[in-house]
Amino acid sequence: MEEMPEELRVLIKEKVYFCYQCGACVGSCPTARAIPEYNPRKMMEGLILGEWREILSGDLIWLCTLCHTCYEVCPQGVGISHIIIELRNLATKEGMAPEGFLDSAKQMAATGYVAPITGAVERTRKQLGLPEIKVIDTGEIKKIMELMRFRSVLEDESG
Amino acid sequence: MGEEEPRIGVYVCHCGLNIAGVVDVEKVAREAAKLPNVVVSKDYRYMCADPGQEMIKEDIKKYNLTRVVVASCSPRMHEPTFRRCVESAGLNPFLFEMANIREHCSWCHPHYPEDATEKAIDLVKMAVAKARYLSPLEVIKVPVTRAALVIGGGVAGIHAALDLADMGFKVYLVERSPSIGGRMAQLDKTFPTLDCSICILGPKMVDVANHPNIELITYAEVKRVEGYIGNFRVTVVKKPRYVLESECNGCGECAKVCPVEVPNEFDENLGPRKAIYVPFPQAIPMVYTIDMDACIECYNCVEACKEQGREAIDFDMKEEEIHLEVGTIIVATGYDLYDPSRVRAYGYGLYDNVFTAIELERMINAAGPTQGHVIRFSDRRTPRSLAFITCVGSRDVKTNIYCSGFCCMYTLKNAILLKEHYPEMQIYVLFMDLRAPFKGYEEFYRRAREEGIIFLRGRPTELYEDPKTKNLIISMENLSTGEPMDLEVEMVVLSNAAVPSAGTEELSRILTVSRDASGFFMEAHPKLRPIDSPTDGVFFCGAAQGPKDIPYSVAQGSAAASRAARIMARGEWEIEPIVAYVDPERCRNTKTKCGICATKCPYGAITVEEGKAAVVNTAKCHGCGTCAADCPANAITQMHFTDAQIIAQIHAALEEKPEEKIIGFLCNWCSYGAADLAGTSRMEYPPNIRIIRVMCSGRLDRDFILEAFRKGAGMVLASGCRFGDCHYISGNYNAERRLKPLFKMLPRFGISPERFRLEWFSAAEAGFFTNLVKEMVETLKRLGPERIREENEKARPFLDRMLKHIGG
Amino acid sequence: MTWALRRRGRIIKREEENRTIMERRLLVKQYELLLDRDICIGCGICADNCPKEAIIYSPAEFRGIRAVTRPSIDFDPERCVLCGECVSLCPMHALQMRIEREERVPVIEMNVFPLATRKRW
Repeated sequence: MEEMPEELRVLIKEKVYFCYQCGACVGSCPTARAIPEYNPRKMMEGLILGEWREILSGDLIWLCTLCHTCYEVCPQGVGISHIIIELRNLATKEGMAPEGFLDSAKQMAATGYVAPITGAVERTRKQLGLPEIKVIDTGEIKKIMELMRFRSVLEDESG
Repeated sequence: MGEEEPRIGVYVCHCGLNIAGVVDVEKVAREAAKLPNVVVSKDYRYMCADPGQEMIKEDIKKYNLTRVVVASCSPRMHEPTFRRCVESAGLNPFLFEMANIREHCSWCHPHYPEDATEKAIDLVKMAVAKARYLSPLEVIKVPVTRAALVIGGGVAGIHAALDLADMGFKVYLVERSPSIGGRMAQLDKTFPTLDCSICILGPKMVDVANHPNIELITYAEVKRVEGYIGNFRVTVVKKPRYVLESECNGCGECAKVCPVEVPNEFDENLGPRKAIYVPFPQAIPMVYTIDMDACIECYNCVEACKEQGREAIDFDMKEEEIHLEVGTIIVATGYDLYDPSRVRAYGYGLYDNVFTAIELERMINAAGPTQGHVIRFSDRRTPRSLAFITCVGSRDVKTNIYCSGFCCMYTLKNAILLKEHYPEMQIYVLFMDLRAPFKGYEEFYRRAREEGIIFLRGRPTELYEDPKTKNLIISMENLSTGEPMDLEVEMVVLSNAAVPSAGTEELSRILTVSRDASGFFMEAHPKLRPIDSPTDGVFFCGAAQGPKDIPYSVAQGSAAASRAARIMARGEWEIEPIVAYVDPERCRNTKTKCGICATKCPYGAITVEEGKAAVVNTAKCHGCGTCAADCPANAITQMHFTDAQIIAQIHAALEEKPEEKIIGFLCNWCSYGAADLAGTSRMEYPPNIRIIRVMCSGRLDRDFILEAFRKGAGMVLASGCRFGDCHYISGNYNAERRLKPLFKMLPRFGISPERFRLEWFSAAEAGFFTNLVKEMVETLKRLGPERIREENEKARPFLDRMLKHIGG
Repeated sequence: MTWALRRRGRIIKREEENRTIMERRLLVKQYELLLDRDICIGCGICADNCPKEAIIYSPAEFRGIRAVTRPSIDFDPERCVLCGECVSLCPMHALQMRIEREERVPVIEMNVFPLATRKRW
């Protein structure tokens, strides 16, 4: 990945360049309160300065909880949480997504559940008197994933 | 065309070697002599010099010329010169036409002398063709009433009124509230020198009250404005104050006995006032007002007034209409403050101890509700720590995108004042960028730092209240460490932005002036006419046009006064006769309901009554020609840029080799200016383009473009100012609406849509213009003359049918 | 906490058990008009005489000939100017006005009662 991907270039041009580094996003960020290294303002600064490779390959973008508070408070309409979604998509395409995230996503596409359903889980549920796990029709989930361009991202990665 | 055949004289200028160095001027003059109606054709070294002008004057007499064409520089340069020249020889100045063979020809095609000469001949031919259709126009003179109306009695309006009154003009100063003084009267001190606000404003207010030339109309609003520059008829509605201004001496005995207390708006509702009140002790006029929303009609005040030997209170007072006749109007309606309760994250109106800056200003003012003590709402105790939050309601895409300008400075001022009153108080200023650009302002900022005020960069995200202590906890990023932090303070003051004052929208309708994207009044030109409104005779000053601090508002007040005096001093005003005229015979409004012209006119200059032909008020008309282009019956003529004249130019330009030519319609102010600049900057571009000047792109009738294609033009360019820059408010929007459908229409006739270009660029964008012409010539070459001829042949039957009314 | 935004100087009406409280808080002065609903019999004298027509009177509801609710009054905080006219008129002493937590009635202090009543007779 040498050249900046087109979608990222457009995103930076149309949104990120407006960032005036006020820090409203950081003040509102629940992740930043727990993990001081995570700083969406600096992330935007990095994108403006052209450090997109480091950001994409780093761990920090995966720490966002997608609570969208930063989206709400941003005075310049940068839409940081949406940019982070785009960054995650790009990183996934480039094969840089953390294993756990991918497993969960694949699991979701296959079964409709994020966590795998193992025999142990089913036994425990029975012991606790919980109902059996319903089998979900994954057609709709797959469709949503397709509409969200998520499946193609996944397939790119695996294939 | 007049009854007699026109007799045209053509004069080709060498301009030293500026033109003659490239263009074969003698050949141009020889060719011009062959044109029909041309009686004499000459070339000369400098036409604009005295001998050149003398030559024209002599020839006018000698050959009995009825039209003069000078081929030289841009009409934006020397048209006035030659108009004066022909006028002094007894010819109407509007029987003069100019061919721009310098900026648009010799200067930009130096390497193609033959093509340039050919182009120059074409340009002269076009000018001569237009000249045949010129008609004499008389400059319209209107009388000017030597009186001015100033709307708004804030610091800007006060200065405008005083300056005009000192110059000897009658001034009516209309103020909406019971007293003049405006926002400045509310302030405690003024930055950057910390002068007491009312101490410097008070004497000016007294001057207004005492000036023999100023008639002060308070508690009144402008309801209607009719007429035009020099002759405005204004209706002002004066609300009843139930106290006779002539009788009341402001003793205040009435207020002492009034049983009703309501919040005082002047004190930002922090303290009470009575139902009969003056907003503040220095009010001008010093007359009490009864707030009928609060009055319980106990008549205690009437008794008290009687005890003073007066009968000033009149409960039967009615709303009163005042009619004024004025020559000019100055709008100084100021600003309101952004309502911070709309930014919920900052908790104004929700948490007790969150204040706005103007509330703090009233508190810190010794004459304010707290006699100068800054106290918290929750426990009326002076806070030990306080934070200012700036940019509330500004620099934010969700509220207002603009920077309100003065908030940084008043925040600094308030911080310094607090530090002076309470040296122990911990004061934070939370800012994103601190803007202190004018004289003495940065020094003031330095002083604030010196006082020990803590400046923290970063926009607070949210604040919340500690329910026990009622302290406020601000969450924000600590930008020095990049970590989120919480800042606990006992009081928060929001520096909220200025927004257009209530009623700005209504007043913009009453005055037919436009507003910008932020809602403030829009000036005629952001750089060179910052005081003028688009409507002649109406001026803006102060924060009505955008947020401004006191020195800037005062300067604008005086500037508006001088702009208004410029009109009133002469007693009469000349109006360019390049206006629209409606032919009552052809106007279809006599038969059906039409009125399109009136809806399209950006100046509200056209009146349409049912069953009658539309009428243009020439004094209001600015001559953009939008109505002429939009008239479905072709009943409207724009003088000096008539359909016949423009079509004659198109025909003349396309006489030879039309498929190689580009017809360019350029608006006088931006795109023609850009083409001129390309010339003066010696930017080269291919000589294929033939430029036709119109005053505004709004003038461009679809027929002009189609006629050019019918006559075989290779390409057509229509252009004007960038959106928002139109010199006639909305001409380019109208042009776009009218011309954009051509891109769909042309292919139906068989014409490739890329042969028509619609472009918007400013007078500074010469590079854009040259590249555009280059690009268009590329397209022309790519398509090739064969294909163009073929396309034109195919389109001709359609176009002939559509353009039957033009003939030819 | 409610998100009802309090504009400076507005009268806020709130119900507290058997009382209705109309409160105006200015930074330097606080006004309260209190109605004790246990005492109020709904005679409507206040509503008839309020100079700003800020008291809304609801008559008793009947089922057949039996009244099922007592007649009652309510305040319009947008119109009330806290003059105290109603307080001075109330035959049951169900109304009370307090300025800075002190019992005070402006119309009586200023000697205008009963001049300010709406009906003149």
